[in-house]
Amino acid sequence: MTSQIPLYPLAPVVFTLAVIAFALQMARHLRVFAATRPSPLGDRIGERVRSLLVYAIAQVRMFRDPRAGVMHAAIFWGFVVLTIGTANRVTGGLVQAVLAWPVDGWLWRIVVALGNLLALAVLVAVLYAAFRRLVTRPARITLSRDALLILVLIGGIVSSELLAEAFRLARYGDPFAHASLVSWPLGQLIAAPLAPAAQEAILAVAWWTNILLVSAFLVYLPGSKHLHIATAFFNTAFRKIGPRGELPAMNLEAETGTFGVRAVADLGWKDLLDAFTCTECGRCQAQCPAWATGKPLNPKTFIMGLRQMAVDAEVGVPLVPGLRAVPWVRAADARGRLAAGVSTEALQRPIVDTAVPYDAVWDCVTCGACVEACPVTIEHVDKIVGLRRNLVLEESRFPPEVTAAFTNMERYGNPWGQPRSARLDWAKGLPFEVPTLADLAARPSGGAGPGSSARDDAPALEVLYWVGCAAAFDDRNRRVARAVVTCLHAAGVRFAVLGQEESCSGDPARRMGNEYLYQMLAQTNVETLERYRPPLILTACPHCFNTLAHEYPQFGGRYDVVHHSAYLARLVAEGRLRAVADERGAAVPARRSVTYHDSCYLTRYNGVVEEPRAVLAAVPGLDLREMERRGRESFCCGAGGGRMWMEERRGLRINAERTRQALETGAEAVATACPFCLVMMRDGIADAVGAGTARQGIETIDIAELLAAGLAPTAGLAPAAVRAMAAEEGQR
Amino acid sequence: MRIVVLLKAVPVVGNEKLVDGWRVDRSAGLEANGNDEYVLEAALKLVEAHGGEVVTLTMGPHPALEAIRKALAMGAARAVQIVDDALAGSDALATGRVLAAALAHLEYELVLAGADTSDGQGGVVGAAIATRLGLPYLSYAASIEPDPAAGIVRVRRISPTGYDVLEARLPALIAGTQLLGEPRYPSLRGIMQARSKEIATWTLRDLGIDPASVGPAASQTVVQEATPPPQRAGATVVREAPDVAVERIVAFLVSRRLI
Repeated sequence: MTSQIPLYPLAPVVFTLAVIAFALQMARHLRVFAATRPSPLGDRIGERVRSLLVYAIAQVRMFRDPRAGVMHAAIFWGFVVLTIGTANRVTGGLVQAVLAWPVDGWLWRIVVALGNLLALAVLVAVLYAAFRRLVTRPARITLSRDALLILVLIGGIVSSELLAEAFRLARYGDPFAHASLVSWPLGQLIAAPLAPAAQEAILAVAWWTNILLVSAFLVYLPGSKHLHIATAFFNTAFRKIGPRGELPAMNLEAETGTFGVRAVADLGWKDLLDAFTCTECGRCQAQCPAWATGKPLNPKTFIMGLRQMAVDAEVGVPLVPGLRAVPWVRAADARGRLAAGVSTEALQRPIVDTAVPYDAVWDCVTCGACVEACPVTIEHVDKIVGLRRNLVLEESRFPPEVTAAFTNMERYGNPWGQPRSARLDWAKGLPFEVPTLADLAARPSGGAGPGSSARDDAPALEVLYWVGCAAAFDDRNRRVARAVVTCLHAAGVRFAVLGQEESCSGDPARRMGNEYLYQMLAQTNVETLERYRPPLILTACPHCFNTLAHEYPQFGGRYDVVHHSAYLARLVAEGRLRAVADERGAAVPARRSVTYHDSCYLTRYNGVVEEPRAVLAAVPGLDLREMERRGRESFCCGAGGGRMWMEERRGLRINAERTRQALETGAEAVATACPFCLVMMRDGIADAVGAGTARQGIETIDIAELLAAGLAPTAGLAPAAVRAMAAEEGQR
Repeated sequence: MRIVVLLKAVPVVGNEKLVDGWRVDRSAGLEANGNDEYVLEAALKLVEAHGGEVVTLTMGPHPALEAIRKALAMGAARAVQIVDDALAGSDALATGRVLAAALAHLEYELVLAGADTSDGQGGVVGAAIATRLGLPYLSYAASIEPDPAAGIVRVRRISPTGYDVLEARLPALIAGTQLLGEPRYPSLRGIMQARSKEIATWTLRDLGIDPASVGPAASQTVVQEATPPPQRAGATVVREAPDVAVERIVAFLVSRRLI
C-alpha cells in the first residue's frame, strides 16, 4: 500500500499532528474542568457498566424517534468500523497484517465487507440528516454551519475512502478485493475503463483527500457541537446513578464558598462534561412543557449556553501548556496547576442572564422531561435548582408571590398558610376513626400493661398514612384523603396519621431553591418519624413520596414509602379490596371512558406506570383512553418544581395545554394520582369549559376516589355513603 | 440615620392560646408582628438610602428571640431585648413606660413602630411612648421621607379621603402600616451573619424601673373576659365561567351591602 500512494510517509505525520492538535484542545477544555467543583465519581460500577451498554452502545433513547435512531446507529457503527480502515491506512497496513492472520484472512474479509456496507449506510444516513436539516426541518434541530460542516466532513471522509479503495483495487488488485462489497464493483464500473496513469492520479487525490479530511475532522472536533463522539461515553459512565428525584445534598453550615450555583466556577466538572456532550439535538426542547407553551426556558440553549461560558473561560489559555502546568510534577496540587491561566473573570460571571434568562430559571417545572429525553444523559433539572438555590439563599431574588409560600411553610408548616390545628379537619364526619400515632401511643394496648411504651404497639400498625398538606387543607383534595382512608378502612388495614405532628415534606421549598427551609422541615419530620418508626409510610402525593423515600435519607431518615397507587393496586391484587359497583353505585355499571394523567414525580422520577392503571382496571365500567404523552413521556400539569405557588404569566398555561391533550382522547373523566395534578387538571378543564372548548361535566378525579366509590357495600363504607360525603363536600 | 424599630413577638396568627383564661401564652411559637416587619423593611430601605443603622427594641420573654433573629437576618444591625419575669401581663401604658425608658438609653433620629399588633390590637403603645418622650407622633404612615440635613421627616398618612402629608422635626416616632411595602425575605447569608450580631438583654433593674410599677397588679386596664373568635363560616367557592361568576359575586356583595 505504502508504495501505491505518492508521499505516503507524510500521511502518518499529518495524522499524528492532527491527533496532537485534538489532544491539546481537549486538554485545554479539561483545564476549565479543573477550575470547577468536584463531582461525585464512579460508585456502583455494575450499574455504570449497564448504563454504558444501554445508553452508549445500544443507544436506546435514540430509537424513541425511530428514523433518527436508525440514522444515528448507521453513522455510529459506520464510524466504529471505518476507524479500523483509517488506522490501517495511517499505520501502513499494520492493522490488516494483524487481522488478516487468523482463520485464513476471514476476519479481515468480514471487517472489510462490513466496512463497505456500513460506509454505504453512513452515506444514506448523512443524506437523510442533511435532508432533515434543510428540507423537513423538525423544530427541535438547530440549523447551524457547524452541523452542516460536520455532515460534509463525514460524507467526504466516507465517500473519499470508498473512491480511493475503488481505484486502488482496480489499479493494483488485492487478495481481499472481493470482500470490498462496494469498492470493488465500483472500481470495475468507473475505474477499470481508465488508463493506469489516470487511475493512479485519481487514487492519489482521493486517498489524500481522505487523510486530510480525517485530520481536519480531528482538529475541528473539540470546538464543534459534534464533540459528543469523544465525550458521550464518559458522560454516560459518570452519569447520576441512583434515585432520579434526589437533589444533591447541600452543606448550609459551610462558611465559605457560594451557596448553590452562581457562576461556572460553582458547577461540578460533571456539569461541564454535560455541556460539552450536548449535541444540540433538541430532544429536551421538544419535550419541555415550558418551551411548548411559549416560555423563555429552553433546556437546549441553557446547556449550550453553559458550554459557551466554559469556552469563554479558555480564552487566553495557551494551547501548548508550559511545563509549570503539567500536572504530574506533583499530584497534590495538580488541579490548581491545571486551572491556572483559566479566566477568573469568565469563571465568576453569573450564569443567570448569560446562559439562561432569569425568568426561564423560574419557568422550570422540574418535570424532568428533558433529562428523560436526553440520549447522552445530561442532567438539566439539578442545574436549574442549583441556580435557584443561589438566587434564593444569597440574593433573595424570586417571584414575589413565592414569599407567601415560603413564609407559610415556615410559620404554619404548610404552603397554604392554614393553622396546624386544621390538619385533621378533612377527617371530620367520617363513620370510622382516623387515629393519630400520638393517640395510639397514649392508648394502653390490649395485652401490655400500663407501663408499655409506644414501641410495643408498633407491630399492630400496618401503615402510617402521610396525608400531605394538599389533602389536609385543599377542599378538593380533602375528598381524596377521605377516599384513601375509606379504602384502607374497607380493606381492614390498621393505619394511623400524624395529625398536627405532620409538616410539609419540604418538596416545594427544595425545588424552589430554598434549601434552608427545606432542611428545617425535613429535619423536623425526620425527628417526628424517628419517634414512631412506622413500618410503612403511605402517601397519595408523589412529591411527598419522592422526597420522603429518596431525599430524607440525606437527613438520616430511611423509611419504606409507598404511593397510594401502588398500595391500592396491592390491596386489590391481594383481594383485600374489591370494587363491585361503578362509582355511581350501579352494580351493573354503565361504561364510562377515562383518561389517566401521569404525574412526573410518580412516573418519570419513580417509574410508577402500571400501578395506577391497575387501580383503574379494578373499577368496574371504566374504559381507559390513553393520551399520546403518557408514562415516562408524560407532559407536566404545570405545578411541579414549586410552580404550584407561582403565577404563570408567560406564554400559554401549561395546564391548558395538558387539558387540550386530555380532551383529545374524548374521555369523560381525567384520572390523576397527585394532588397538584388534580387541581391543575380541574382548573384546566374549568377554563376550557369557560372558553367553550370543552363540554360541561368532564370530571377530574383521583384514582382512590374512583376505587372508593365502587367498593363492595359489605366492606366498610357503603358506596352511597361515600357519594353523600362527596356531594356534601362539593356543595361547600 | 439611626433608626430604632419597635418589634413585638406575637403568637402565630391562628395559633393563639391563653394562660389563666386571659393572658396571651408567649411560652413558644412566637413570630415578629406583621406590621412591625413592614416598618422594619421601611427602616432598612431608609438606611440603605441614607446610611446609618437599624436597631430593634423588643420587650418580651425568651421565645421572642426567634423573631429578633429574623429581624437581624433581614438586616438590622443589632437588637435590644427587655426580659424580666415581672413584665408578664403588663398593659399598654406599662409597656409604653418600659419602652420609653429603654429608648432613653439609645441614640436615634427615628423610632418606627407598627400601627398595631395582631395579639393586643390596642395600637396605643407608640402614642404612649411619644407622649412620654415628647416626640412628634406620626401615625398610619404609608411612606416615610426623612431629610436628615434639614432635621425633618415627611410622612404620608392614610386619611379617610386619601393622604395627609405631615412634617415633623427629628427625632420623631412614626407608626406604619402594610402600605410601606412588602418585607424582604432574609437570605441565608443574612441568617448566618445574624448569628454573630449583638442581642443585648436588659432587665428592669438596668432601666431603673421598680418591678412593682409594671405587671398585671400595676396595670390600669384589666382583662375581664377573653373568648376566642367564632369559627369562620365555610367559604363559598364560585367555579362558573367568568361572566356567570362575576354576576354571582356581585350579587353576593350587594346582598351584604358591601357594594
